[in-house]
Amino acid sequence: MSAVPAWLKRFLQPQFALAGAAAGAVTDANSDFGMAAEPDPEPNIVTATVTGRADTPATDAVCEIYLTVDATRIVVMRFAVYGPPVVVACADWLCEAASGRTIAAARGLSPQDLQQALALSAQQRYGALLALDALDNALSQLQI
Amino acid sequence: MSSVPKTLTEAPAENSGAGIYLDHAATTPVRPAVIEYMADVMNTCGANPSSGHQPGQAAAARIDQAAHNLAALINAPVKGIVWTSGATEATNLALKGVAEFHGGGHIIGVVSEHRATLDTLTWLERRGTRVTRLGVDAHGHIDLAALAAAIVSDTCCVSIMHVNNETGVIQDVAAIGALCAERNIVLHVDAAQSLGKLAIDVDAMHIDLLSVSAHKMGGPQGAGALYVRPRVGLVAQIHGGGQQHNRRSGTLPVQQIAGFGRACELALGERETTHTQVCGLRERLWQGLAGIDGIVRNGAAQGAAHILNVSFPAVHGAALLTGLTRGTPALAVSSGSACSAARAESSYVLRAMGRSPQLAAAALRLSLGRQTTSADVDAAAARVVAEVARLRALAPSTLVQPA
Repeated sequence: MSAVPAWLKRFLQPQFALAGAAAGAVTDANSDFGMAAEPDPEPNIVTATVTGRADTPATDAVCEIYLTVDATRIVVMRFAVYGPPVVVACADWLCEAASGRTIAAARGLSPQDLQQALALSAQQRYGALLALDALDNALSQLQI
Repeated sequence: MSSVPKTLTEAPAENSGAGIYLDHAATTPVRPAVIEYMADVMNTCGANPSSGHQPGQAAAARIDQAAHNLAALINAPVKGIVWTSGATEATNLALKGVAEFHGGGHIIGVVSEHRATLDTLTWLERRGTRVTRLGVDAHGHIDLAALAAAIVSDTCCVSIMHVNNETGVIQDVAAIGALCAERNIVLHVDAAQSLGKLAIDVDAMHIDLLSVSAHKMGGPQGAGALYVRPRVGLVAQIHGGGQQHNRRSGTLPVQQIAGFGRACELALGERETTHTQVCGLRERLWQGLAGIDGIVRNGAAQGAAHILNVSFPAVHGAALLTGLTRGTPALAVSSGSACSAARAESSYVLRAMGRSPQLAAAALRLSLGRQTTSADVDAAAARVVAEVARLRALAPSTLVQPA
């Protein structure tokens, strides 16, 4: 049997288990959907919560990113996806990578970062672009 | 010799049992009788069929036999058979060959064709051939009046697929052929999905060029053919060696072609029985799925017997596919065409039929074969029902409309 690619391993991790069991910080996830728990930021420092959204040209995949930020950094970032598993994997990786980072650093995440981390093929690169577009859309709503 | 497994033996590691193969529109298992015949050819015919010596002529005789078998299946003259590597090459030869013969000109295709046709037409368009792409109705059929209206003075070819590879929709090739014959226009038909399954008579249907493939009907991958009606102008696209009367150069793969011929021979004798059997199983499968809330059948019940294409609103086809290909029993199915998946788009065939992008993305193609059983169909239906219910229960209400 051929090796399971990194993006599929990520998709198949417990919180996205096809058995349907939810685990960890993700409360509700499956193969075409990953929904975050309510953000639980540290008290007294939260300044904004925004939602970003992106879809593919044929709108057969949609990604929403939910951000809670303080003055300089992303406190917590979660996602919801309707679409192929590779999009779920990309959004999930991005949330993990961006949470806790400064907003500037999050802006610096690139498609290559996801492509490398998840071993995406050229045909799957759209998943990275979709997740990053949703993040960019969310960040663009911040008045910082 | 080991027999061809009916079910997948190399299921994903997560599975405890074997799977069910319902992807015959992508490829069919090679029939045991074909494997035996190919093995015999490889054991006894090791020479180049173009060679004049006795071993070479023995190999050539196997190819002649295969040509007779294929010709009998489509009611064509044997000398019209040009062997290729598959239907894609055959289609390339047909369209590029005709366009070059006519110095460009105008070709009419259909938006729901296989990529082998669509991409070849685009390639020709970039080189000066004018292309008209006809639309289809909600059932996937073209409008004959629209075809007639699209014909202009320098239209040199009409290209259409007999059976759509995603939906199983059958075009009225006989009526299209009659129109083309009346206007003296070459008709190319992609019959990759219909050879051995539906009756094809190139004479009665006025077909001038017919692309076929071995691996869609129990033969080996890597073999196909283009039927070329005598006196149809066609310029060769592969040069070197002059084999096949200069129509397609290259040493012929004897065992592949022989296997193709054997599959044709078997299909000719069993076609009607198999059609009845597979048609019954497809309807049994449909009945097993029809209770799913909001399910949409893409393509009419009168379509090709081996294909059932359905959409499940609020369930993404790729997600459904991932779920079905894992678990027990694993299903080997398709979410439409692999080409669409690679381009990160929902099915262009379904969108051409008026389905929304979301519904097109929610499609699942289940394609049956002569080895499919009632138990396979029942188990597959149960898995699909359960997986759709599970995904819908978890679907995000913010992004997905309920079924």
